[in-house]
Amino acid sequence: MENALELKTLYKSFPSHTVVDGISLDVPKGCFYSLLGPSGCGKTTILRMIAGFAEPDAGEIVLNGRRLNGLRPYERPVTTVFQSYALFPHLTAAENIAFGLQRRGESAAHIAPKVNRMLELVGLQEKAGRLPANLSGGEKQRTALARALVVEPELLLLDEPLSALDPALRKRVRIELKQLQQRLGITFLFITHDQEEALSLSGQIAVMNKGKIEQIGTPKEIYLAPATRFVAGFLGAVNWVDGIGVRPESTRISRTAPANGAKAVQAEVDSSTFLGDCFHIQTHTADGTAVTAQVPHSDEPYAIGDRVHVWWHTSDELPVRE
Amino acid sequence: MKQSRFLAVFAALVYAFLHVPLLILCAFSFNSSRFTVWEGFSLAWYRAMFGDAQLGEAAWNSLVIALASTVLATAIGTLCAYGLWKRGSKWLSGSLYLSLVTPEIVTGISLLAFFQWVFRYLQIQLGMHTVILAHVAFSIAYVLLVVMARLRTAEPALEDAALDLGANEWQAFRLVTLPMLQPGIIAAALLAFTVSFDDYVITSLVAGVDSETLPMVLYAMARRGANPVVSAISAVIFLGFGALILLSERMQKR
Repeated sequence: MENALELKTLYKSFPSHTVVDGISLDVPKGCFYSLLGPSGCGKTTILRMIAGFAEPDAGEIVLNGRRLNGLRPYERPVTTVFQSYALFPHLTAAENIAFGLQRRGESAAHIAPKVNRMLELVGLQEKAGRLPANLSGGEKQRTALARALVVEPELLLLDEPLSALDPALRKRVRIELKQLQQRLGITFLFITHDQEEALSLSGQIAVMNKGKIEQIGTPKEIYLAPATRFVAGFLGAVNWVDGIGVRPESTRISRTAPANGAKAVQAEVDSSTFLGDCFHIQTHTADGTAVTAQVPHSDEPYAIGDRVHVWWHTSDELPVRE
Repeated sequence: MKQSRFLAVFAALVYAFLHVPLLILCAFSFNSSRFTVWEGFSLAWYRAMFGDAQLGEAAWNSLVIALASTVLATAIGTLCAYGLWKRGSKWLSGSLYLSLVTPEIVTGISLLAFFQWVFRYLQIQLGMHTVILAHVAFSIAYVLLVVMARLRTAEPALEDAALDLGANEWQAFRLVTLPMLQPGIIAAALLAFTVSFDDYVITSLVAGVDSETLPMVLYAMARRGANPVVSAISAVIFLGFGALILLSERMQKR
C-alpha cells in the first residue's frame, strides 16, 4: 500500500531532555493510524512537528512524496483537531468551519455549500449559527472536526480529541469518528494515551515510550503479541509469572490442579472484585507474585484465603521478547 | 439572622460614606446660594459653567489630551500585552506594572526632568505634546493590565489553529486574536481615557502655559474658596465618567 506520511528518523530535543528520539514510521494512505503512549512520551511533539508548529532537530517529514520540513503551518496540506478544540470564540460554528476555505481564497458561493455539507455530515445543521460558548462539548468537538475536514487535508491530525468528553459520550463519538474516517477515506493520525481508544479505532498503532517506538502493528498484533513488556503492560493488565506474561482473561482458576496439560501455579485468594460482566479474583503465589484471574458469574464463589490453582494454556502466553 | 442585619447596616454605612459626599456635591450644584445653606433650586452655576471661556478651553485641552493619549497608549499597550503573552518574561512584565505602583509625584518629577534634559538639545517647550507623552507613559500599564487579563483566559492554541487552517501570522493576529481581544481593548481604552482625563499631579508638572487641563483649572478654582461652579463641573464629570466606567465593566465581562 502507498504511504501518505513518512517520518524518517526524527529527533527533537528540548534543553532538559530528548523528547523525540529517532522516530521512523510509515502511515499508509487512507489509514486510521494511532500514536499511542503515556503522557510525555513525545507523541504530541511529533504531531506539532508534522503540523509545522515545531521543527525537528534532524530527520525528514514527507507527505505524499513532498518534504514538509521548513514549511510554515499554513503551507502544509495538514489540519489538526486540537485537544482543546481551539474554536474561534467570536465566530459561529458555520463561520469556524468556513475559516479555512476563506483563507484559501474560495468565493462565498463555493464556501456556503461546502460548509452546509460539512454541517450535515457531523449533524450540526441546527447549531450552525451558534457561538462556541453556546455549544456542548460534543458539538464543539464535531465543529472542530468539521473545520479541519472541510479543507480536504491530505492528512488529519487528531490530538486526543475525545479526552475532554464525558465517558458515555466518548464511546459514541468514537464510533462516529471511525465511520466518518471510513466514509471520507482521509488519512487520520490519531494521538492518544487511551489504549481502548487506540484498539477500537485504529487500522495500525505505533506504541511509543520515552521518545521511541516500542512496536508498530495492527490492534490485534499489539494486544495479542506485544513485543515488549512495556507494550504488554500499557495495552492491558498482565500477570507476570516467572517472566511469562499472561492476561487475566486467559487466566483460569480452580480448586484442583488442571489435568489438561495447562501451566498451573498454586495460589491463595486475596480478594474478589465484581466488574459487572465478570469477576476478577486477585491471588498470590508462594513467592508473592500477584496473579489476577477473570472468572464468569457462573463460577463457584471463592473466599479470601482459599487455596486454589491458577492456570492458563501456553498458547495464551504473551510472546514478549524483552 | 442578627448577624445578617448587622452586616446590612454595616454595608449601608460604608456605601453612605462612599457616596453621600458626591450626592451632597450634586445637590449643592443646584443651590441658588453660593454657600452650603440650601436657599432654592437654580441652574445659575451651570449657566456660569458653560459661559466660562477658560473652563471651555481647559475642557477642550483635557479632551484632546485624553483622546490622543488613549489612542496611543491603547495601541502600544495592546501590542506589549500580545508580545508578553507570546514570549513571556517576568522581568519585562513586572517592570511595566511598576509604573502602576510608582507614586504619581515621582513619575511626574522624573518625566519633567526627562523632558527638560531632552529639550535642552531639541529646543522644544513644555506643552500639549509633553502632557500627551506623559499620559501615554502612565496609561500603558493600565491598558496592559486589562488586555493581559483577557489574554490570560484566552486559549493558547487559537493562533495555532488559525495557522493550521491556512492563515499567515498577520491574518491569525488580525482575524482571530484581535477580535478575541476586542472587548478587553475597548475596556482598556475607556480606562486609559479616564485616568488621563482625571490626572492632576503629573499633568501640572509637565504642562506648559497653553496646556492647562480641566483638573488644573478646577483645582485652582477650588483653592480660591467654595464655588458652586466647581460643584457643577464636578457633577457633570462624575456622571460622565460613572457612565464610562460602567460601560468598561460591561465590556470586560463579555
